[in-house]
Amino acid sequence: MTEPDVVIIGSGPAGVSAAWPLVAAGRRVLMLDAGVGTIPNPAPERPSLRNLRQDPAGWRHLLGDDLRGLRKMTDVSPKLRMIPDAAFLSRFQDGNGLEPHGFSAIGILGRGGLSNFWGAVSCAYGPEDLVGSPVGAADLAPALRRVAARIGLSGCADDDLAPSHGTDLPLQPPLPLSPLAEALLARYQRHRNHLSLRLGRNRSAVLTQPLNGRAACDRSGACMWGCARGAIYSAASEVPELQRHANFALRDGFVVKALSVGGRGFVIGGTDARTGLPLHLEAATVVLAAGVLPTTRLALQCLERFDEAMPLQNCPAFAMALAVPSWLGRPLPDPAFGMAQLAFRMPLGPEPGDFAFGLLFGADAMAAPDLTAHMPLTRPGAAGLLRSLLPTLLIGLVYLPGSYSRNQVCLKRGNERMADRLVIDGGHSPAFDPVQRTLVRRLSRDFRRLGAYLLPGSAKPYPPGAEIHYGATLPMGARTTSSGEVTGRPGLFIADASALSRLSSKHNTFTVMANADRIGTLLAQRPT
Amino acid sequence: MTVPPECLRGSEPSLADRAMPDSLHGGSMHLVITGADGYIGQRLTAQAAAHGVAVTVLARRPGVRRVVWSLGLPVPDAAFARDPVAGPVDAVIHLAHHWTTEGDEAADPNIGGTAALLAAARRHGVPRFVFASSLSAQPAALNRYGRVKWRIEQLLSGTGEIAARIGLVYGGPRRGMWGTLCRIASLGPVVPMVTPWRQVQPIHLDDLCRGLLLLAGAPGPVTDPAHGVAVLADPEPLSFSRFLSLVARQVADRHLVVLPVPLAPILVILHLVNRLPFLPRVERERVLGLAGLPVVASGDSLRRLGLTLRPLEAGLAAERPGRHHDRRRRALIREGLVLLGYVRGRSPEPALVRRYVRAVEVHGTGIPLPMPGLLAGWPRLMRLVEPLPASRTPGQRLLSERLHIAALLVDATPDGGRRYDYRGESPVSAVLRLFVIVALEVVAMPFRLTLARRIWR
Repeated sequence: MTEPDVVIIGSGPAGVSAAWPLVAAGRRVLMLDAGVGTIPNPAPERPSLRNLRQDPAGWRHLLGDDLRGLRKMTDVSPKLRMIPDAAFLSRFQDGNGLEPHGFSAIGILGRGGLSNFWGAVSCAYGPEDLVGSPVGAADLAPALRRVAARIGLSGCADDDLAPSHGTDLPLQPPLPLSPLAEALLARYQRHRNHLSLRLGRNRSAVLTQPLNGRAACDRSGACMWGCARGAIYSAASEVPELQRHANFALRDGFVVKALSVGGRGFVIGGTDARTGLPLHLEAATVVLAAGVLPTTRLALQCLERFDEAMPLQNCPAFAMALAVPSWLGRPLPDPAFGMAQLAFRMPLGPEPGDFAFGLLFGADAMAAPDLTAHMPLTRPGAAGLLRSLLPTLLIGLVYLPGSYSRNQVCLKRGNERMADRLVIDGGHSPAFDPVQRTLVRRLSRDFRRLGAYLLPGSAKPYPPGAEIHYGATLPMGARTTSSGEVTGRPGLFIADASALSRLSSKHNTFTVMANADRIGTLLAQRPT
Repeated sequence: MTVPPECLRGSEPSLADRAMPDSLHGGSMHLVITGADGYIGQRLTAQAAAHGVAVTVLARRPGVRRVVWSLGLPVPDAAFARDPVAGPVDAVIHLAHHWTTEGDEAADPNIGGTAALLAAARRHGVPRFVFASSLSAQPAALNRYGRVKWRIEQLLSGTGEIAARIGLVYGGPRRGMWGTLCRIASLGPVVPMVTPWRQVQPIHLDDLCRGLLLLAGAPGPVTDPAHGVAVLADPEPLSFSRFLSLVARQVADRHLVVLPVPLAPILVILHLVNRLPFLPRVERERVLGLAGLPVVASGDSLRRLGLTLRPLEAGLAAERPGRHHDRRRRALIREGLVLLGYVRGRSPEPALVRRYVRAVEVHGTGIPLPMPGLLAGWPRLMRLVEPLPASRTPGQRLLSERLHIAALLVDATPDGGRRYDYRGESPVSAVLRLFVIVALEVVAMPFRLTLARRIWR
């Protein structure tokens, strides 16, 4: 392609979402992807989780031929265990010039980014989450609908959690629940008036009906080991669709190292992932969608804001285990959907948006040793205990709003051999510990009324950043305009979660995709 | 000189020496070698250098460049010349030490030599200077070595000038203090020792090298900002006699009894022993150094560097001589049999053990853990010595990691899969089953709390 109108840096959910409206409007779009090739999906003929577990050769699927599932990856989600090459993760830090201290900076320098391993929880930010943002719910609504139709959301439009997930969206029928989740939800319906907890079905970017060549979920239960049918959304699957358009081009293996003003507008410096040779590109309009940490680094570099500490938000999170004793002795049902079944929220304070958001997973869809490793019991004891408890067990992941995090990023100037690097200092706000303790108590009380008991000692906070919900470094209305354009750098746009004004406790990917679509649409309307 | 072919069968260095052409001796030769990073090249370069041959290596990647210097000589500018590929010098790691026993301590050549090197580094704007000091560095150390190291530490003042206080280094080629200790450990069965209750803080040679490279290269502050000292030593000291008997057991396969003796007679005996031919020489300075080692907190330094030290027993076990690879493999197979048998409840089939060994070699350290013999016979006894998840000593952490690998491997077999195939039972029997499990755990807990820490150091 000669002279692209727009260069998009990053091939993840935000980059792809910004690309669609631009491509549809006839703009010439060049997407830069740091990876080479795609991360392979499991073979479509992979057996269900139950069959895998009974097959002597099942370990090849569950741990990988090369036993990559046994890699030591402390504090990393078990989903990332099956990533074929650990270098995807390590290259993310080195390749993007990130220097984290007390912060887990996780990402994948490859096609589709982290969406390859997405849990697919899809929430639309509503008015309570957009307080202080120049972009209101009404501004986002059309883009949310477009993205929902494009990626396919399944869920329920009329339960207690539906307003949190987003209303007025095209939805596929919800995924079937496990019998235990079904029973918990039924009990909640009877007791909801006495609880501050709000419980409902999860909303996911997982198909229950075929869409755009992707098959519907077949409830094989092996979601944690990757989806063999493409039912779970990944941005990597959309890149070939974009490539069918003559005005879209992908340049892979382009690791962007530096962004500065010059030439036709901006000069993008990088290295070729295949050869290590330097690369150079000029563009009048650049959309940064490389993921919050790399995007922040490039934007600060372009703004020449060195040695200036600024806040980075993440959603402090913790895990917990709930057991429903009345289900003791019941047979373990067939695995169904292997990721979050139910979602819940719990208010934290009087401010709008000050609430915790949580998910409940069936414990049987995970590898039991990952659960027993945290128990103070011996391995055989824990395995025996778990076998009897599995039918009663739900694993919760609870997220707090970004205001409970206290991280800082600061761009440090490099030298002739080391690129400029983004130093990230991680931490929780002092309010996190007391609020988390109170929250655990209140959750424990409300779930107890539903017959589910918090296992003692099971509530464990993640280290800062390990939950991989980052954002709000270049908030719209402050460092960027409401159309995502960086203040003082006309032509430079931020399309990922860096541009959010604040992080809600809800999962932000779907909202970020809609915001990227909105920014792409506004950009497409500008005269060339 | 010609050598009869039958003499070349051995591998002693003296034979190799004799087989070397005379013209190589004397240090007048200068070779250019390419492919020096390869299998033959690495050995060739090392041998040539050991024979005093000047070597220039032409290589794709930057590598070793040698400049002639010795403590006491002026530092040549060439030492700090820019490398055409790697750029200017980023750090100096100063390990050189000239063993001195006599003369005025204040005028020790180590002090003057280091001062000259430091001045040259400062002049050339080298941002970091790492000086290899010792835990014995104290103004009133028992041996001259510790006092000289302390004096040199006082020369370091700028930011980026770091004294690395190093503990008792073990592992690798049997040279230096490690060589002496291996010789002492093989003297047995009874070894007299000065103050054997003295605490030492070991560190494996490879861990030390990693630590030094981190001190030289890690971005950001690597030492406590108040004083540029980093401590590279095991945070958990152990008595010197215990250390020496571990060396004897793991490296020389023998039991050692340590007999405490007062310092003065030992020095006299040493003096005599060192005069006798054929007996291993033991340096008086080194014995004095051991007698005067203080315990220094190293946890903070290691954490700041992000350096985790390998557990002592595992580190020593890997130092056994002989067919090293086979021994290691066999030990890993033994370990796999114990851990897999334990988490699975019955002995594992060979394919599963092979998978375990592969997993530990590829994704773990590959170093076998020392397994008490009792566990090899009854893997179920592990119930009494399994560490708790919160345990923090390196040995316990390493065992927990291995158990996790074993558990995930078993989980991915039909045996493990059957655990997910729970067909249900009456609530009463389910409750009873849970009660029995918890009761067994309660019984095991005191043993785990007391024994795990001792066994998996």
